[in-house]
Amino acid sequence: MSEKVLTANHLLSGEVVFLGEGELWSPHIQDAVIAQSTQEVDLLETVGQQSVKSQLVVEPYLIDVVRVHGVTEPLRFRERIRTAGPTTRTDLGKQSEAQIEEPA
Amino acid sequence: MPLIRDEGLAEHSWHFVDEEKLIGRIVPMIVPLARFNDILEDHSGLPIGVAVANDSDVGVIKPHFGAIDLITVDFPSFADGRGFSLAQRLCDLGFAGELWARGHVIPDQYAFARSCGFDAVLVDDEIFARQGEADWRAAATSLSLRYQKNNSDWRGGPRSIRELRRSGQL
Amino acid sequence: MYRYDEFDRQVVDERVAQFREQVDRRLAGRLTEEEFKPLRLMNGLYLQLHAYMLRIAIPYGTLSSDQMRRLADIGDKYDKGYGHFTTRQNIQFNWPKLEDVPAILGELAEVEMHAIQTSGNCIRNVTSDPWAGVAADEIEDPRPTAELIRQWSTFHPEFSFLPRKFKIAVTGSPNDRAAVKVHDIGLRMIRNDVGIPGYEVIVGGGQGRTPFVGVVLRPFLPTSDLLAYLEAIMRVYNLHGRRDNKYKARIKILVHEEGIDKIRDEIEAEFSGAGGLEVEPDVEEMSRIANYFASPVYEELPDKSAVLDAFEAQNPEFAKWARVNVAEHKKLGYAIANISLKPIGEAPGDATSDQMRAVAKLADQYSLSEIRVTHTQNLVLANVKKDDLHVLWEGLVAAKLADANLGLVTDIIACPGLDFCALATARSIPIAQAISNRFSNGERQSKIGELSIKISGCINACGHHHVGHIGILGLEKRGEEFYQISLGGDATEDAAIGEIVGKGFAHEEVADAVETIVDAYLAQRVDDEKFIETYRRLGAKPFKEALYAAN
Repeated sequence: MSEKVLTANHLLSGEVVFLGEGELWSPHIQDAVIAQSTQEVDLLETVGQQSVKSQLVVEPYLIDVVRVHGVTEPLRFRERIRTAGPTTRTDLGKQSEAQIEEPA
Repeated sequence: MPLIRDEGLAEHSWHFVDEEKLIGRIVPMIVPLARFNDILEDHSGLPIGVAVANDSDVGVIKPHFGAIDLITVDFPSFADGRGFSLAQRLCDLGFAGELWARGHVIPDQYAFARSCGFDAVLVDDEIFARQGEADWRAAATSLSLRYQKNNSDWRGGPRSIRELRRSGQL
Repeated sequence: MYRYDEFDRQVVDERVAQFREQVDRRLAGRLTEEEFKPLRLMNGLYLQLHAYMLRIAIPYGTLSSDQMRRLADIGDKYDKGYGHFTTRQNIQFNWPKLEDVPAILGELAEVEMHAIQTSGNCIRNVTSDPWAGVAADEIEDPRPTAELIRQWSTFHPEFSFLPRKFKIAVTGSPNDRAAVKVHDIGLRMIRNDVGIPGYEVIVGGGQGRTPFVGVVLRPFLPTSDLLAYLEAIMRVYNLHGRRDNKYKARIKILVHEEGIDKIRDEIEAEFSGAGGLEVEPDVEEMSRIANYFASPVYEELPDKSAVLDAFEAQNPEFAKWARVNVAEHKKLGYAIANISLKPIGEAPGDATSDQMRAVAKLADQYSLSEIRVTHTQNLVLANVKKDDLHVLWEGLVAAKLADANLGLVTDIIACPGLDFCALATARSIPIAQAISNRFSNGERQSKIGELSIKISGCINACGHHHVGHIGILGLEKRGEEFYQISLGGDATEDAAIGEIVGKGFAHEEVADAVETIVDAYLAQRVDDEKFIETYRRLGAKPFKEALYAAN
């Protein structure tokens, strides 16, 4: 099974968010909890549904990721654009705010 | 399923009958369109109700409109707006009894339902659990004007802009 | 243009309050997302790839300079300083927050604007000819009709939960600049053989997954019967349109599956039956609306402008813009100035807030404070004196809006595509940019002449690729972007759906492929044939050979 993270949109702001530690949502994919087994995936989805019910996020779904030198990246092209921002405006979206964390 | 009218929650004494045989009717009953002929045979003198699906051909009961006191139109999903057209068609065909929208209708559709000829909404329990009487009453009056001509008899409904413009011009 | 009376204003104000209340109910969990979604869509609010997207209505593409300035302010205050003009004459902002939308709608309402029914399964923005009221070839001004339909369709109690979206377009010219033949309902304003005005009613056109050119439902409908007839069509569609499959839910599918004759019988039966909300034609209302579109008071000017001629003689760059972007006005001494939102190498249809303000100011100075939006994602200043064209052009140059490419190969239509849209399968804007850069040379563009390229980033065809002379559809194949090219589409009165030429192309290959097609056209054309004429004469064969023979 490929590694997965859960992503959604923040209800109030529409911002793309990822489910991180402590059932907290983060705008940065680097904070996302990575599920490596079906049980871990089920847990992510359960938290996702709870967050929908508590009016925090909308439309949660799983995406496949890889870790490259400790940096989490989506596998699918569409998700890479969604995680970073429009390719035509690199001054917009998360890519314009991104601080790439150096691997430890 | 709670019944919603303009004033809010309303009482009624109708019973929906889907599967049982109609033996010795002692209460006002609403039967599915397919069972309509059964109830026509009944001589209890009680009011007669018919439940139609939102893709029904209501022309088949037109000859019996005089005998029918209530028609309910199903809303299987609030996104499925066929019931609004069906109500209009029933009114156009001359049905003068009570018309209820039944099922998955949200408060934001109440005014549309009334404007299309429905007298009340019999709303799904789960929807009502989340959006109660106050939400229905508020949504019913949130738009006080309408562009379209009004051929419903809804006195408390949105006023016709066309008529307001016309009277303003006099 | 139409101005709200107190009732129009109240409708929009109440809608703002209603939406605010709906958002409150959503945040409190009393409305689920499933219930809230159609409500927010009916207020033009989508959830897109990066953020929410708000689509604001510009009724039949007409707005005032004040309205344009308000859009600019909203772009700065609530978004990222720019907006995108769409193929249905609306404007989109890509980055608003849900919590800000009630405030945005409030600020729009102050200038008589809204986002009502720009999305959702309801009747959408009625679109029309961007040269309405001023084109030299116009038979009848379509705007009063468009405004009448706009009001009638707003919060229509019977038709707000249709099987799918519903799009209506109106043209008043034999040269159809509103693409009426690829709309759910297209209306052509005509006169019958005794000179009575009315409409040819076309139904079942559309693009998307299964494109169709519309068919004539009624060759002549008297003007006074319009709303009653539309109600009959809508009722038949609402009751019988498919609801089992999102991709088969438009009226075009109903027409195709049941046949136009059967559909016509049902509609005519509905129309002639007693009842319906609009049985009595409202002549007073139609004439009240028509008054807003009376011709402005024009000056009496000569046809030739010495000022214009002098500047054209001394400034070749201006002369080119005047030749390419300026169209003939019905009034002597006036002109229709077209503003290209396709600067070389930029995203088609985008304008910054500053550019919007610049256009608003130019509209105040030179065009009676009114601006039009076209479905090819450009803008129009419709009432410019020929004497003012040069000074207008200078203003456009300063705002970087003076590209002289109207209708040329770099006047590309593109949807936002995978860079912005949650539905997309591939990117469209970078393809447009690559093609635009490839053909940036002005002389080359002139040599090629009229050629419309339309790019969609997915099968939903918001880029109208089916009706492009060259259409490009972005798909995904094995995780990679992949583009299908079609030829021979046409959005005008000669409407046609383009035909796919052959195997698709990778992202990096598309600009080359387009260049190959253009070169094949140039090699084959006779006299002044436009691309579409050469294609119609020769078919796809020479283009296929050029594209694929080498492989």
